[in-house]
Amino acid sequence: MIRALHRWPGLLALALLAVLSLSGAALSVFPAAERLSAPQPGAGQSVADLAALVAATHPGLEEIRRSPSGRITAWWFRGGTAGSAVVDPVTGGDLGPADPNPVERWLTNLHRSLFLGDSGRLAMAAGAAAMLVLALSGAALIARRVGGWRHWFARLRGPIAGRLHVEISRIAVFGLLFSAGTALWMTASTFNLLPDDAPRPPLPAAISGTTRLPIDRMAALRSVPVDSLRKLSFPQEGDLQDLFTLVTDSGTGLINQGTGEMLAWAEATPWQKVSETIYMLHTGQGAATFGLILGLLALSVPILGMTGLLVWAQGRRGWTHPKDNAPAARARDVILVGSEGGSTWGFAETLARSLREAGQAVHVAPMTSFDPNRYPRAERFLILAATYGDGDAPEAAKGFLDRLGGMRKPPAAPFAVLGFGDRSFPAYCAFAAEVDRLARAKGWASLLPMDTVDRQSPQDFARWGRALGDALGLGSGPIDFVDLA
Amino acid sequence: MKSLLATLALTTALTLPGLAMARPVTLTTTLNNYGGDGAYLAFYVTDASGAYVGSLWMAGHKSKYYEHLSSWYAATGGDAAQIDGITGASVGAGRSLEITLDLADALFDAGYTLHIDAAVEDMRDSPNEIAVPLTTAGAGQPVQGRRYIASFVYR
Repeated sequence: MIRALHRWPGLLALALLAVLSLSGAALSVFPAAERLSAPQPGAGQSVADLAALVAATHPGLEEIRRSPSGRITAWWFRGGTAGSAVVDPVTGGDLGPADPNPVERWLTNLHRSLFLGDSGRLAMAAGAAAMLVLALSGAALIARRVGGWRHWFARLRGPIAGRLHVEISRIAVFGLLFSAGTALWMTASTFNLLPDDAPRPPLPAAISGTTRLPIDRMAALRSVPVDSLRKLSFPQEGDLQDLFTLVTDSGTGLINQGTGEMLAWAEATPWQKVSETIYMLHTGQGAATFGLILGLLALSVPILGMTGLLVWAQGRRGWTHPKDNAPAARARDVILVGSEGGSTWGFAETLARSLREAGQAVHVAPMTSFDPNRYPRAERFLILAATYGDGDAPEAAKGFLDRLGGMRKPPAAPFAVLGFGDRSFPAYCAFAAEVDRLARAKGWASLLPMDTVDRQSPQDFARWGRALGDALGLGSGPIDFVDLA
Repeated sequence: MKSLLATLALTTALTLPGLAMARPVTLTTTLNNYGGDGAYLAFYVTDASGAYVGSLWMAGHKSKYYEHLSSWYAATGGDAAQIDGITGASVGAGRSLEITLDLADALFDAGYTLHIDAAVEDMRDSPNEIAVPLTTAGAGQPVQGRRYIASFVYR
């Protein structure tokens, strides 16, 4: 169930998630670059000081903005033309154009809407939802594979694709969960589903129409440090009824240009603050290092997609045949593998190699393809069986019990069962035990009593290997799983 | 220049009591290449005393951003009913928007002013980007906006 919940969203959203993650990773670089290049204001500079400085160098000043990186931009209108520039908060001089970076804008539009407007936004939100489902189901699968949440960083075994998939995702999953969750929050905000609009201060009824006070003497601006500034809009030139509008990280205020006093103030709401914090963390605008980390973790998505695809393809083909696999018709040792996450295949490979080195003709196959008639020369069947969830057959062993139960006569060659599982689960090696029980009930000759390997323990596996070596008369030497220790 | 034609025929955009006669008027707005994302534009009319009379068009769908069209927003309180059925897509930099609507005769040469508020993401809001008196003589005379509109003409 969880596996299907992981597989299908992953396959369906693969291309979309690759676009989302690569564009997101590329975008994470911009806030960091802006942070590094933005000149920082002198300590304790007030909005009044900054505004006076910029106004002196920019006649017709209409607005000053401070981006979360600390970059100050000025917007003015004089002589019939509008202008804007990034300004130095220390000197008030121009540093460069304030036009948005076209590459960043292109990437942003790709990242949030595929250039398709609202339908694109919804498609990308669906991608984020798929990411969320993938991250949660993936985390559950990791926990099951390593034997519980407490073993999150346990050593992994098994084929490379599956191992790489888990190795990367158990670190990246935290960032991906965060990016996907915040993306959905931001989409909900854009579509007005959250009550996070900034409250507007009430317009004062009457405004004393006196001429403008020098900006650096306005009390309401003197008390605000530049660090908390978002935006300061100037009144329209010549309109004595017009007001200064000040936006800071704590709210929005209207200031009388004649007295410099705050006439009205609207405090930012908790919803608004949560949304702003989420925006900051998702984009890295104002949290550049965090953004870079998220971007780096997002780079894992294409790799996870490729390795996931490989795992899926291998699972479909059952088992990629190892190089030295003896043909079924000539095999003396038949190793049947019932693997769920792929780790049991790794053990089967090691066992096959050891037996081959001892001069045996070994054939490895998934339990699903079990058919004694295919192995006329078989001398023994070695069954390595994992257990899926609560005692069910793993992916590679579906239908094995039915086939065994339906047999009129068991195979002539004896069998041995080795169960793989985790003692912290109640149904420890329950499927392997069921295989062993049914085989004995059918009168199949046993080579060895059933044994188990707890959490991929090399010691457990080596112990069984010695017992097998003794039973085969090979001694413990050849079947020595040194490469597992 | 790329031209985005949104030609729209509205029966009566501005219904004023006692004004029976109306004429089709085409508003053509061309944006300059300001280098930002699509602009939100609010078209509305005020009377001789500066009081809000009604809205003609809203370019931009997301009501969340309407507060950035600050003069329009101050006049209407962001009331969605004011632009019900007269909303279209935002207009990209360098593109044109053409709207045709029926305007009451009595709006011309009577002190009414047509305003356009403009706003662009991450750039300065531009309330009253355009403010032109509605006159028969002014028809066909292009005017330039403050920041984002290269030319606006009604005829």
